[in-house]
Amino acid sequence: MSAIRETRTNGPAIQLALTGLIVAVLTVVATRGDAFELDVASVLQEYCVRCHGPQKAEGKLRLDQLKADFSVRDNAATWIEVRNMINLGEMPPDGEEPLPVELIESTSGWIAAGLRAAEQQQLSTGGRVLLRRMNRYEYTYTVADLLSMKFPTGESPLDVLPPDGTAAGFDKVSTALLLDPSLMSQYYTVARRIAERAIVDGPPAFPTEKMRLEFEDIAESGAISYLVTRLGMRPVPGGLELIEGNTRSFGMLRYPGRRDNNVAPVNGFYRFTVRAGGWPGADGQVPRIQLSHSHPDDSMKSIMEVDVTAPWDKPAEYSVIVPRDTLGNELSVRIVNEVSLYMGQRPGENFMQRNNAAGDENDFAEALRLAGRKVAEGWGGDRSTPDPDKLDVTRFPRVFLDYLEVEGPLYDQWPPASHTGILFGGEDAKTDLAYAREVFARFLPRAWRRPVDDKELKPILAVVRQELESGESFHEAIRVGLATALTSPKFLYLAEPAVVTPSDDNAVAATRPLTEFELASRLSYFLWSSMPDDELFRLAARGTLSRREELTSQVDRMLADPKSDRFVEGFARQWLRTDTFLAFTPDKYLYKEYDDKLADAVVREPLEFFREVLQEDLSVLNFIDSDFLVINDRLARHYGIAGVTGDEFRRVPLPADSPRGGLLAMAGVHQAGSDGIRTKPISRAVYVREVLFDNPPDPPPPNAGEIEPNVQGERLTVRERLMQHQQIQACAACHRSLDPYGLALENFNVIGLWRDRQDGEDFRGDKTPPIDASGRLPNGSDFRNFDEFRQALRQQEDRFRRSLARKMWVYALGRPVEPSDDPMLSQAVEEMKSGKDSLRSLIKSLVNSKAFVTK
Amino acid sequence: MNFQTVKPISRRNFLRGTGVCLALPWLEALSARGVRAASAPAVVPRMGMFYFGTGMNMREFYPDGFGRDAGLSRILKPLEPHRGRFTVLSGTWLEKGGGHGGAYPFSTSIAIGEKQAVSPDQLVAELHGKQTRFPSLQLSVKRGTGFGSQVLATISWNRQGVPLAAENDPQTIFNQLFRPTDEQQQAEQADEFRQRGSVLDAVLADARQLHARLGAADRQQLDQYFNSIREVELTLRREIDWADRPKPQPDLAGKNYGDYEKAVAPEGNGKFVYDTYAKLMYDLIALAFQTDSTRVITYVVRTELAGGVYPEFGVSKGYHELTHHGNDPKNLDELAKVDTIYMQHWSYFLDRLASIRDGDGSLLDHTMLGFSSGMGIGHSKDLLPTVLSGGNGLGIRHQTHVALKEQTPLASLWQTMTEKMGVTIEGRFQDSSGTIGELLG
Repeated sequence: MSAIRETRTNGPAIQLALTGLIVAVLTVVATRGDAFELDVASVLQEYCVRCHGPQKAEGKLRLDQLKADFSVRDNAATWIEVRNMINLGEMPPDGEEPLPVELIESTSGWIAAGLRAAEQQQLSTGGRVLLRRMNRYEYTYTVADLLSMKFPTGESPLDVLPPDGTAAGFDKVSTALLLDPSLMSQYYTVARRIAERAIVDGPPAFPTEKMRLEFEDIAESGAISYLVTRLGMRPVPGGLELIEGNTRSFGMLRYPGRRDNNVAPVNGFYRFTVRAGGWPGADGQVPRIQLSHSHPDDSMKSIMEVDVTAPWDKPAEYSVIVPRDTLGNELSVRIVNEVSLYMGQRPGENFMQRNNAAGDENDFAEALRLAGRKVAEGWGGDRSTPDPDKLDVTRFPRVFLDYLEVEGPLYDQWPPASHTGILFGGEDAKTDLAYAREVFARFLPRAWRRPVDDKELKPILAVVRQELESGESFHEAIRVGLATALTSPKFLYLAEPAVVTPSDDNAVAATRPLTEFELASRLSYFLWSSMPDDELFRLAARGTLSRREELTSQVDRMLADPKSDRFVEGFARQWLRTDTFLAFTPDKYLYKEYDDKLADAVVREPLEFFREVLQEDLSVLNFIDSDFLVINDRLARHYGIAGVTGDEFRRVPLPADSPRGGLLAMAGVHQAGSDGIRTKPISRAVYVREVLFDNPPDPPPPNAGEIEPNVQGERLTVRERLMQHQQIQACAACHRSLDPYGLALENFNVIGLWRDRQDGEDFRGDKTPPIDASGRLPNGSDFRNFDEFRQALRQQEDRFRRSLARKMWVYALGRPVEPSDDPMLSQAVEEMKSGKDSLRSLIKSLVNSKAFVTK
Repeated sequence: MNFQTVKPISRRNFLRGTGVCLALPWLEALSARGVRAASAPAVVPRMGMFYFGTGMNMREFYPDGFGRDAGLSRILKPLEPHRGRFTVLSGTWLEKGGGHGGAYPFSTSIAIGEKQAVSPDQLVAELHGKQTRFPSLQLSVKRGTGFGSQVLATISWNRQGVPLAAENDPQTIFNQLFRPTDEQQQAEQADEFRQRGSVLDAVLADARQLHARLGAADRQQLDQYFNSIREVELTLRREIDWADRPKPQPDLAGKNYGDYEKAVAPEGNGKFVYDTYAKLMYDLIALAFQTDSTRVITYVVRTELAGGVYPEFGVSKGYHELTHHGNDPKNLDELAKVDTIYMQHWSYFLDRLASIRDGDGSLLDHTMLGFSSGMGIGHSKDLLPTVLSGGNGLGIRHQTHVALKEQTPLASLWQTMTEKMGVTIEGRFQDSSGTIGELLG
């Protein structure tokens, strides 16, 4: 294939055609103005060319002929090989004079820099924002906003459209947002589905119904035979008392006319209401109940979980609206903080302990005998003997259940807002082509986010006409027209067409200010991942959006809108790489406390933290170190922080003795930098350098290997094993500027718990080696522990600010950062600083920068 | 078309089905060739390419010795009954592989991040695709393309170097291949074709209007739109061509096929059992070949990084965790255990193909199946788990274990298979060193 071997000729590449290395490198100096090259030239000349030169050309490699143009694939590949060989210490070979470490480091660094520059250049758009399609989140949000649509489970475009590609770390960059035939077809399919939902015929197939189960009716049914055998459930006047276990709906709750036990005849939203009251236990704990749905998909099971704070004699309604599909079955209500009213074993006996003991002694006959006796005597399970110590149930939390009501499917209105909005003339309007023209003349400017002229209406009206002529109903014709509008490149692409028709294909048009409508879209796709709202359209039409003070005040308005959550999800999720946190699952035997709730919480923590920093205008430096946390109950338990109940995230002051605070003390980061049984300091170091400082380390040589388990009898910490590795001089060169960033986090174990001694792997007992988290940063600052490490990072806060600005730059513009962006980035950093380091001040600076407001 | 009226298929599959229906020519809802056309060659060749992500435990992979009687390793032991119908190729490598980006160069030798080129299966589809309902099939344990991430879900690339999305739901694929079009669908089909056609015309007109107003760089971006529309139009034309021919009805009775109506996709719910899934997917491939619904298939059996291990395997960690074995004997042992399970499924697949009569031999005799990975062990570019199975009736000479010249590009295997499919490759396919003579006898 010749295409891939082609020399790239775009841009000011380091295009050199040289015969001798010295000349090559000197020329590079002239081009890149880097001081390293001279050294590199003399290094290669001194150490390599004798064998890899005109005389011998060993391995068919002649370094004297190797060109320094990294944009040529073969050159780059050879340079990578050179770097790998010297990094691995394989070259110069045994018996030859070895390359001193400083020279390995400088040569390898020069090659890495050259490769990165070439890669950047490949991605470069010359500082221009390119046409790009929406990513699937933007598509979904845009449709939701355009047509006032909510999507029940499984019916969102997100469930159909495949995940998007990314470049420079974000799914906003045009070079990664490819369009292939299958995606094209999916766009059409999704558009048809959206059109089906948007325009309706007649009343809903399933009208909203109320279904109610009075819990006292269970006593009237056959299920009473089940209830009366349970200690933890008691029919009481008007309902049911629950202390232990759960009650089902027993086939008494279903959508009218259905034969199955499902309350949901169609995908949609449903309101679930439980009326309940409770007695707190002797310790004051109120009963907590969980309403769940029998469902083949585990993630669909839970409907709500709530503390019943209403008193027994004044029950209250607890309600929630959730999406449901048609696969569900029985509903059930369970008391979460139940008390086991039965005995697990005969008093004075401990089957479990004795069983274990028997197992340890390999006395399997005894183990079997014990297990058999437990069954034979009827111990264990809820059919066991009542616990005589728990006969007085008034000491325990008890809940009174009055009724369970389901209402749905819920419709905000019928016909839906999309229907009445598009067919603005109402049901009595004349359904002809002239009306269709009016319909689309109103709809398209919103769908395509700009004024639309008559000529642009033609293709869609041709579709509508053909449908009408083929005998389809007016509604169906409009639907097909709607599907056309949503499959059109004018919808799918964020286009900023030239104001005048470009006459010459090769002409590089001068930069121009964006039109008002283009600016509205850039702004709304940046902060809302969606189309502009009415206010932005109004300002654009009036021509005042581009005023600096208007842009600034729009940022405030947009950040105050709930739609700014999409900025958190879009930007923070990708910047902080929360998608990678769960790539390795902690070993379930070593980390028994690890559970699904914790997994969920560690991924959410950095995002909730970001939201707090954004919305409360806190300093971004809090990502390095903070005196507060944003956590829920599960994380509070994990971090050993008292007084946090409920699974919603909230800001909590950091206790003085807690090692938490800042991104690097968050458990998700630690889990991401672990392999399930031990920590991976290098991987953590890479995270710190890339996320906080946008400073990726040079790639490792091939087969760089892993930290190996301890040889039998040895008890070396992860750090010690890593240090052994570093004794190889060639490795030390790179690792000394990398490892400290990860070793500083060694006090956090695989699941982010603080440890003073080595754990994980097969470390057990009291005599495990202590953790050493000390180190020296490349800039020379020493630290003895994690806290001093964070302080040392605080010294580099300008580096961090700039890195954050660069990331947000990519996200806002959908293109990589270019050298020419430097002055604007510097300004953004300054403006952020003078704006108390708030994200808001950074955002305001970005949207007012020249790059943001020009094409 | 009202979604509530489409009763028999579950909503999810229906929606997804229609998506794929348009997406991939092979997923058209259509008719079959009950009888093979008289002009068809006596032997119809088929081929499949299979990707096992994240390498294998290569310390327990290669057979002991070379030649037909080489002793099978722990991992390959399940293939013993098929001796003489497969060859392990040691010495293959992927110059641009050797990491979790290894799925990118797998079929095209082109590194992650580089502009991709057409993959071998698509070259074959260009030749054979005209004669089958579906030009090619893309299957995967993960749906979509995964493009941009390391967890690539497909190994098929079209002429524009664009990844072709794969499907992972056995029920969806089964329905697309074999589910008859009911009366209502047939009635709606004509309308659906007309509507899709006129929408395509209209958006093409829109694209031209837009194109006229764009600068050069933006126009390049929009080219993908034009290419895609062109492909989707071809698909539509194809669907119309096949619309009046009924789909083939495979005979499933008494042959231990799984129940496609109850199939669970990997991202589905807790009821997913990999063993069941693997067999459903392999059987689908056999059925698609048997009914001549397509002649070329790619299947990402295991992606990079994620997954690969399921509760019933009885190992302590995920596959990716195991591959970072750190020389821990327990990890290596469990890794080999998982690899062996995958090879048991492979053996099941070969059994199935061998049990189906095809012309003067079995389906396996007329089908070439090549599998490998984007890395060997520990992110290596060499030591790939490369095996070619089947195709004896197409002139493949199997000899259990062959040592190729060191660093023989994987593309050489693809070139060998592609040429055996009757595709003429001018010069060499990518970095291929030509066809592999050892396999051709």
